[in-house]
Amino acid sequence: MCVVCHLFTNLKWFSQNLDIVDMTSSNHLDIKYQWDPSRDGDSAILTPTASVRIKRDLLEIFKDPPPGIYVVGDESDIRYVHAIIVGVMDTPYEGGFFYFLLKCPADYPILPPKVKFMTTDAGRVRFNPNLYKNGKVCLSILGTWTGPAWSPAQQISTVLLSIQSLMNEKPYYNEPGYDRERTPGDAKRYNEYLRHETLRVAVCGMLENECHLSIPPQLVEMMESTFLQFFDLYTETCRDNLRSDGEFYIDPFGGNTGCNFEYTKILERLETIRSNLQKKQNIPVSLPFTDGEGSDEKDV
Amino acid sequence: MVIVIMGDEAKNSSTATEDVSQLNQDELIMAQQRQIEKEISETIPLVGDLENILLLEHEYSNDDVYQEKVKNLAKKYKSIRRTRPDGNCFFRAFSFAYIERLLDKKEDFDAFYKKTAKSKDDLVELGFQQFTVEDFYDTYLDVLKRVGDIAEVEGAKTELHSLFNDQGYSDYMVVYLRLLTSGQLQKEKDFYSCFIEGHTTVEDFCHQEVEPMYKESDHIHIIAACAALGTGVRVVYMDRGTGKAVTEHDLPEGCVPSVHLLYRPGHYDILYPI
Repeated sequence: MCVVCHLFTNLKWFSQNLDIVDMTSSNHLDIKYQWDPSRDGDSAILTPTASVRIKRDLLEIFKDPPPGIYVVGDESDIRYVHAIIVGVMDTPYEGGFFYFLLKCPADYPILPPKVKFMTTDAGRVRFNPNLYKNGKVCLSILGTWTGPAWSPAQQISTVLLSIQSLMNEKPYYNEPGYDRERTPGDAKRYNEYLRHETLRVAVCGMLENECHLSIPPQLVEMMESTFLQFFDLYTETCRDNLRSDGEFYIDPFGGNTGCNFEYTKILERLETIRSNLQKKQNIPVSLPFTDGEGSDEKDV
Repeated sequence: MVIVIMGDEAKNSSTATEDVSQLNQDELIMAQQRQIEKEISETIPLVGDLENILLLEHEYSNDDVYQEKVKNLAKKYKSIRRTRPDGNCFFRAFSFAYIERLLDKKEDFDAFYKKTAKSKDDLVELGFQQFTVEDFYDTYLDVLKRVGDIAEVEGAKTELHSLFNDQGYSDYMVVYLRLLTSGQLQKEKDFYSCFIEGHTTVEDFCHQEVEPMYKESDHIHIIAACAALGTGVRVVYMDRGTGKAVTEHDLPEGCVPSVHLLYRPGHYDILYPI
């Protein structure tokens, strides 16, 4: 039964006894942050079964990690889980680090966790039709979208895998009503925009932590080692796209207008991040498969 | 407490306005629904006390059709137990009423305990991940054990009633019956697929309409839940339809029902025959 019908049956049944909430009134504000784990104001204490279950969900991910998904429980509050999804190869998100904050409700898993997407360049980039700039994740199992609801037999990895599947090769088509391009080439232009923003925000921005996110150290370490592993891929993408530098980007969903592609600048940032990491990790400058120090020259 | 810093979000006023525009209608409805559900939960117990069936007449003091139907109902049923109308009412009512009934007959109760004890393995075999069903299974067995250990039947029923009104236990009982029902549907999917409208597969139907909490139940849920527990239920329909009598349906057809439920559009309560 769809949400509307479901509500309708409920309404019919109870309207005699209850004042129906006015959807247009000041209620808006309370409802507005219901999805948001950092602002929902919910401080209820977990039931004992809920906290055991959260640990088991995490254990399950540690035991059998889904590719590209990394999670860490919060050190001081077990309700919170930090997760990074690494963008899948051959998608515009490839190699990017997408950070999510999850919060389990007191009666988890009766209700789903709440999720906030944190890699948004401080609210400026909408990385997917379902990942809003304000961090909201639109997903039916989270109750923030229509479709199949959460079930208590699901787990934290179910949520992260669903998000990962949104971040696919052609995310343009995720948007309802956009099963065909509004303007020919939109899907491709959206991918170009996302590819650039992935490198700018989800790679450089995340490694530099320019938005001052509180990312747990284990995840930072993972990003650093993955960064070094993917370094050549990042630089290759930049070089392949250098010719678009200076052009305006086009976000078919109307975000971030008036900005330019800046692959040259991204290349510089990538190099700086790498050399800082190498200093920090005290890795000898010569890496395998590179001729001595001049790894910059390798791809030229 | 985790401190989440969103960079210069405060300065970025466009984000805030965007929030409002991005709240779509469905979501407002869902939020409103949650609000209503919360208000309901504060007023109606999960499983109510036994009430005289004739008290139902008060609900319909201005309605002759219903008054007549309540009188008819009272010829067969002496009492009613209301359940919280939260979308889980069938599963909660059925689970409670069946276990309550079993408590009258020790052998039946013990047989049901043994059957339930084996049920987790069936679910795992069907592809449910063990650890995601374990807590619900453990709670279900724990409740059965706790009430089964009380020698005196009335005492056991009182304990059952109090456990079913403890949200933690009660919801876990509901979840487990939902999972057993889903398991039953999937095990006999060739049979059940004819009852599912459209192109939805039995698996998808289970994920969308059976396993999630607060999803209301249809005939197909009831038949599968009965098959899962190995029993039958009589549903007594009471609506504004013509005729003085209420309509009865035994599910599955031809069964000897162990549980009687009163159905009024969108909701199930438990009935007790004379």
